[in-house]
Amino acid sequence: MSVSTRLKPAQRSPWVEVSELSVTYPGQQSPALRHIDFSLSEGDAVLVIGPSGCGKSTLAMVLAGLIPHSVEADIEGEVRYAPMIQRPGAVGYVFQDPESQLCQLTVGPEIAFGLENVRCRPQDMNARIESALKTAGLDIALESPNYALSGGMKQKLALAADLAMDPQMLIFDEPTANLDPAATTQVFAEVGRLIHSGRTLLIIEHKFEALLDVVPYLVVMDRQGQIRSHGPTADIIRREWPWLMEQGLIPDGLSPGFDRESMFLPHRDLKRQEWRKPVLQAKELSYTYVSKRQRTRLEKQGRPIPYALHDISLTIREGELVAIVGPNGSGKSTLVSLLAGLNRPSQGTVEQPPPEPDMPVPVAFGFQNPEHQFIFERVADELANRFVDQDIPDDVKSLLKEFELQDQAEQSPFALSQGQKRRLSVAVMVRDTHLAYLLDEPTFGQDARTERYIMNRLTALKDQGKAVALTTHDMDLVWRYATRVVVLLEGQVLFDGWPQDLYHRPDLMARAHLLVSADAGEQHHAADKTPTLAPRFIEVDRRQAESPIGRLNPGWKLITTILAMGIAMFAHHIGQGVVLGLIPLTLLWVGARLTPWQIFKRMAPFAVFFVLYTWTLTAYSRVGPHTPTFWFLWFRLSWVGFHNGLVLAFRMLASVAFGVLYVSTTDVTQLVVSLTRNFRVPPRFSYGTLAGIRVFPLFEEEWRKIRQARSLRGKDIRRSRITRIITYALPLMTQAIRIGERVAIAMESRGFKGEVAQNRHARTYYIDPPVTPWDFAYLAAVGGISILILLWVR
Amino acid sequence: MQWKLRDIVVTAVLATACGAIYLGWDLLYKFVPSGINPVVAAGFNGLWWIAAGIVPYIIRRPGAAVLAESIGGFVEFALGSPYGIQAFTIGIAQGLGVELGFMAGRYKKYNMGWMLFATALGGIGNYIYSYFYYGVNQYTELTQVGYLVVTMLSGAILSGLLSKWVGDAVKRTGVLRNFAISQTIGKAS
Repeated sequence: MSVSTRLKPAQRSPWVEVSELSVTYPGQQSPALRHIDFSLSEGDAVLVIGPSGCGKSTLAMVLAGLIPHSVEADIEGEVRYAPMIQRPGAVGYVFQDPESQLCQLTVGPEIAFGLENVRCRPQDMNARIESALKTAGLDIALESPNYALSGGMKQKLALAADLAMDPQMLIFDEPTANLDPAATTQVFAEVGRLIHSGRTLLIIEHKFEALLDVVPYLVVMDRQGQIRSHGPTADIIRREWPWLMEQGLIPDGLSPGFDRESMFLPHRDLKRQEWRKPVLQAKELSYTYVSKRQRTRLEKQGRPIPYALHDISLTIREGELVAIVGPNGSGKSTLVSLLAGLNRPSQGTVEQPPPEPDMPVPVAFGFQNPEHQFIFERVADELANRFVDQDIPDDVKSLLKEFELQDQAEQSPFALSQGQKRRLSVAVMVRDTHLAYLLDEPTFGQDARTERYIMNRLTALKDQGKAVALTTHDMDLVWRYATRVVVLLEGQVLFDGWPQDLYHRPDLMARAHLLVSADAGEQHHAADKTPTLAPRFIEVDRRQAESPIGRLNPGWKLITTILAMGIAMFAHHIGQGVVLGLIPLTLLWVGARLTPWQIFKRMAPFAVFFVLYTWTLTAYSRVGPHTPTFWFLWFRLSWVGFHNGLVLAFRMLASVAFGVLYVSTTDVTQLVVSLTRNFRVPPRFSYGTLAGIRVFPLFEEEWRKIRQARSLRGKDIRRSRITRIITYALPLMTQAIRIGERVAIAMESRGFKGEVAQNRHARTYYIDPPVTPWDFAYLAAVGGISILILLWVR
Repeated sequence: MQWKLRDIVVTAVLATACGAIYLGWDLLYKFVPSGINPVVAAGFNGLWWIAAGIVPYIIRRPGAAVLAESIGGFVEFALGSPYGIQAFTIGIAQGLGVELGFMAGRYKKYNMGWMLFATALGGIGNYIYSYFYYGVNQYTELTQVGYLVVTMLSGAILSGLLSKWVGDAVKRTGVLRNFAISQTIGKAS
């Protein structure tokens, strides 16, 4: 079906117009979009909904001009852009994943990145950045590191970065898919405000209920990639209600008018629980991420210990389905991981059922990201939990069928769709018998069909008398499926009881940020304070940054550092080595303003290596026939070798100290800009590299999760160490590549393409480390003194 | 064979991860008994240029080996490698060695044999650098030859073989659909 008429009676010429548009991705048989007619004019505000895979994002990316330029796809039909829509930065695009649309390390440069691409004058940038932050409702310092922001704040930062470029039109592509209700409310509130101020805007949303009052126009798409209907929001919702319900876009049991009373499980199902047998018992449970040593120090100083969970007692019984809810950081995930025995409580105990011969693992655990759970490269192996080759056992076959994965048996688990991955991870959990099933956000990022599928499976387990507990952000899931709900707030239990009872306590729900609305009200403003975190990875202390060496040009400083190291190579006497090593140590103290104690602490870890070099050469040096040697055990030691070893050790000392000097005084962002400004590196190489390095801190978290997942399944599997490398590398690498790809698309959507990315003169620079005579003076001084030492010291 | 922005970002992401692996390897190497023969110890070397294997295998662009190894080396250095700034400079040397191998194949050959060959050349870069800087020139001739041969073998296995193996596994997951590794040689432009 195609929509033959224009969306609205044409008043003005549209900004973007597509007709008979079909889009097919490379390697795909069927098109993602079919015969779309659509247009967007000034002042329009449109909400697009539809089941996952219906091509909503594809349509949005065509409208933004990202397809086919940044994302490859075959396009049929006609796409027309008004000239003002084609300038870089004319279309702002807020993507789904908060982690993969930022490309800088701190807030200021992040917003400036887009401005640089549209050649904004550097002196105007700060004003535009400040005003964009204000419009986006984000009150944070420009120096705040991006990684310290919450998901909701990251989305607002992405919005601010778009707003700064003064876009004609904004596109939101499921901006809240990865956010909790509180953060969702923040983002929706901004969307509402933008619509009120007359912005042209298109928003794709999965959980759209709160937007229906705000966005005047609605487009419904179907699974085939066609527009099913469109018109004023209220009319379309009324007309399409049965279809939306059938497609799972509206939760089961919800009545038109969004009344939830009929969703709850009947009372008689809930009442008999108190007498059931406990399966998991937490007693006075506390957990803190602070180490034991720090804890005693805090106690001594009389300062409070930051607890992730504090004094929680909780019993989970047979035949219960307990939903654990609460805002981000309230301790939900910590609680389930403690119950599952993945982490040890700091105080208190968790009582788990003991393992039995026919049930070695009584408590099963499902990670939020199903990929963390996979350890095999083939779906059939994964389900069998061993290499099964061609003869797939019958029980695995029936599981495959049960979870609708029979056609995927030969595929890699990582190659599955989101929904298939989740089904597989649940299938792995239910393969063996357990007494309790704990799941961290099992429906996160899933479409309605998969969600329903998984919840029905878990309900069935509950009905068999198993204990089921899960964390979630989705309150409709709680109303519909849970027999009990536990609300956590700041590590403590705020509510524990029947879902109905919570439903009638809007005061509690507001306190725990469980309500989504497009009206932020007063409750969330406190959340946007500038986060304070200890500096880590590639961050430089202010004192060092403002020291004489910290103010040098990073590119030239790198050259000086390498030069100094190269000269040190020619040191052949101990005296030369000692003096050469003293240069960087002195510079650390005088030039970079580190205290002697700081210098000692930074250099000490390397001492072992200096000893090692000395030893290796003492024992393995080439010796002439008349050189005196000693036998020690089976080593032939020589004084010559010892001498050479010491020289090498001092050379290494010089090299390491110069390295410490460089790292302690240099900001990575500045280095990257300097490479482009002073050393002619094309911007896409320098900025692309910076964006890639930014992803690094995410790895830590991923690595930890994968290790935990392995520890859960490790006992019952025998496989070679080499296979283990793959099982670690695969989830990390697939994730890294996906994020890298998305970051690149997000950068291009902010105007970083073509000439701007190619030619360093085609853009402006927010941070611009100058090259001054001091840089050359430093180079000449370090190089000159090093050479003089080689010549004079014997 | 133009570099796309996504090629560069993914190169940096992977190379950064490799940099962290290098640092781990540096520390692991610390626990190799200091009395061990340098020829035997050379067996460790190859992993230090795995970025120069895995990235070109996926991205297949001129300069991929040098770029990846420079970034990896720089990250290793910035994270606090005991080799200091040399982690970066030796990375360039190793990357240049591997780059020569892929250049010899005109950036079109990435089969098993060629991967082993190119990454073994990284060992020559490593040898030349260590000859001047890590005192390899002080070893006896026999030790030096052994050091070079074992280093090259180590590169072929720990960098080349491992890269191909991991790269193929990642390719099977389908996330590399938009990268040169998934396109036939003729189409990759």
